[in-house]
Amino acid sequence: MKLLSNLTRKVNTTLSTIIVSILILCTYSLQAAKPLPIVAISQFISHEAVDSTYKGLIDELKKQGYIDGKTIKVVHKNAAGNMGTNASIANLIKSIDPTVAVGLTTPSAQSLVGIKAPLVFSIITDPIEAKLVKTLYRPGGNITGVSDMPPHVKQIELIKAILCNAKLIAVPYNPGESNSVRQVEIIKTVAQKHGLKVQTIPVSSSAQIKIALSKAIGADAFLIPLDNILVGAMPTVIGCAKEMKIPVFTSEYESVIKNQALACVGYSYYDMGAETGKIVARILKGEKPGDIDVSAPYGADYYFNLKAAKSLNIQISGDLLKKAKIVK
Amino acid sequence: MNIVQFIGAIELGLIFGLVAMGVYISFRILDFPDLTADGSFPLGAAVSGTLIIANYDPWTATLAAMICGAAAGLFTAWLNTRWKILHLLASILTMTALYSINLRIMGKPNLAIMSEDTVFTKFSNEVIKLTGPVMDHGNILVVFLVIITALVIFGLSRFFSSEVGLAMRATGKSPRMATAQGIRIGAMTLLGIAMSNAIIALSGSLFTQTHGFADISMGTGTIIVGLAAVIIGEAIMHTRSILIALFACVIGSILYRMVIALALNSDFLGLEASDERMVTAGLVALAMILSHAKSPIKNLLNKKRSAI
Repeated sequence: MKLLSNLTRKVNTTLSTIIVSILILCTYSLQAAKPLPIVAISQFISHEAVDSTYKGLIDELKKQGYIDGKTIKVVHKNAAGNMGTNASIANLIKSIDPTVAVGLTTPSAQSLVGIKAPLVFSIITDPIEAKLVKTLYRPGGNITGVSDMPPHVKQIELIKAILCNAKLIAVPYNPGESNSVRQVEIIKTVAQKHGLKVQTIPVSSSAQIKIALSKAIGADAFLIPLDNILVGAMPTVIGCAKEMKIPVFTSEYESVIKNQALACVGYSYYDMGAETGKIVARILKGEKPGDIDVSAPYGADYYFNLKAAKSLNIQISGDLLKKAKIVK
Repeated sequence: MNIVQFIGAIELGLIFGLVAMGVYISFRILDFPDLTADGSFPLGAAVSGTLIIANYDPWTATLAAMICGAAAGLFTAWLNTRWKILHLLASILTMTALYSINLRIMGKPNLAIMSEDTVFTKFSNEVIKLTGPVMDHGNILVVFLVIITALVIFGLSRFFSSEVGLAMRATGKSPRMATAQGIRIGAMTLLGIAMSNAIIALSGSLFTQTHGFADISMGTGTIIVGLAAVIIGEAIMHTRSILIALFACVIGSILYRMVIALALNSDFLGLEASDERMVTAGLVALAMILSHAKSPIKNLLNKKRSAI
């Protein structure tokens, strides 16, 4: 027994020596030669929205002939919502000196600022406020990317076109998400110009959605911004709205096709990823990031769900339906 | 791992070393499991970020962050000592409330201060003025953080050797005995938890000033990272001396960051960066189990024998 305990004590002391020596060894082992251009992608958190953006990005690169392992090397790291890990990932990406660095979501892109390589951001509603670029047109420097500001003017116009007597729209959003806060500000100013009142409903977790949305009784329509919590819990949102007999307008089309949101003007996170991929490809081809405008996924498309319209007794005019990309 | 990552890990390790020291005070010295850290870390970031944007002196902003952190700690300790709410629950209550408070302070969920003057840019300008361009930015940052860390370690170790400090340590070790000696254990808990959270808020404030932004979600996992650092430090340096123990917290924190950086480099065992939380939790649990048994194998054998 004494022998055993002696042994374990020795193991304990040698363990720490081993850890230290591994660390020293790893500092000396230099990065291997890099024949392929590297696209390094930092993602702050795993989420339906962010994951589909990533997928769109990779698919677009593939379409343009940039295939992971063949023509480029993709380094993809996910911080799982931890700010310390996010900073470590930024250090890693800075140290491997990639050809293009990509930051998906605000904290990831902000941590990568200062990198030598061109930096492309995505899923950021207001890149100027996030201090990433100074202007959206030819931003200069080595940062550019995709802004995910939904076409709020067209959304409000659509609400006015479908519901002529609408006076009050309810906008649920997560006050903890900088992108949503910015969208709500814009929706408010646009709505005011069109003579609509806006009732904002803060929702800080998906568990609160049902209670929070019930505050909207009396509103003529829901307008859902591109918000991680609400988009993630769309079935609950639409279920609540259905009970209250209030039509739902959304900013991403999947809720119209998969669930029963009434209508949408906007684009999907997948499209946004594709748009990001286009910018990455342009930089890989040799363009300077400072010369590439900060873009948004263009061609805001219209989507309608007629089943939802029927159950709410709402008529959608033929002119509008002609504009639509998909009617379900 | 190469030099950029190595310096980066030391820099992050030093910043989170402050968190580790805060956690050491609450968990180890006072025996008060305080989860307020997940709220007071972003609180420090929010307060200093907001004040810096409002053109206050960055040192004033950092001090204000520490005072707010201390207030958060005081509130947790007050809930526990005055209203007898379980310490764990009291800290969860404060942490939850701080999410909303931080949002109120910042006014929005993300605050970018990349172009503003910070304590670090001020220090780095002074150094470059004095010595000329000898060191680059990254190295100056490490020097700056080493100085701050050394000051905190020195201050704390002096404090814990003073009469009040010894009384606080007695409070944690044996509250009954401490009461018998005429120590006001309630006051000691209030002071200790306030100090702990002031240091954690300082860490949050420095993180924001060196990384250029404050974000509402930056507190997630602060406590567990701090605890991991404390435990790694204890595993490497067994000690009764406060000075060495605080030093061990910082070393533990740096080692933790190195391990994370290594894990990010290699796709070791198919682990991804997003598995980090599970690995950290496993590491902390394992270290706690092992620290209970001086010799784990012997302990296992004893268990078996007593079962028979």
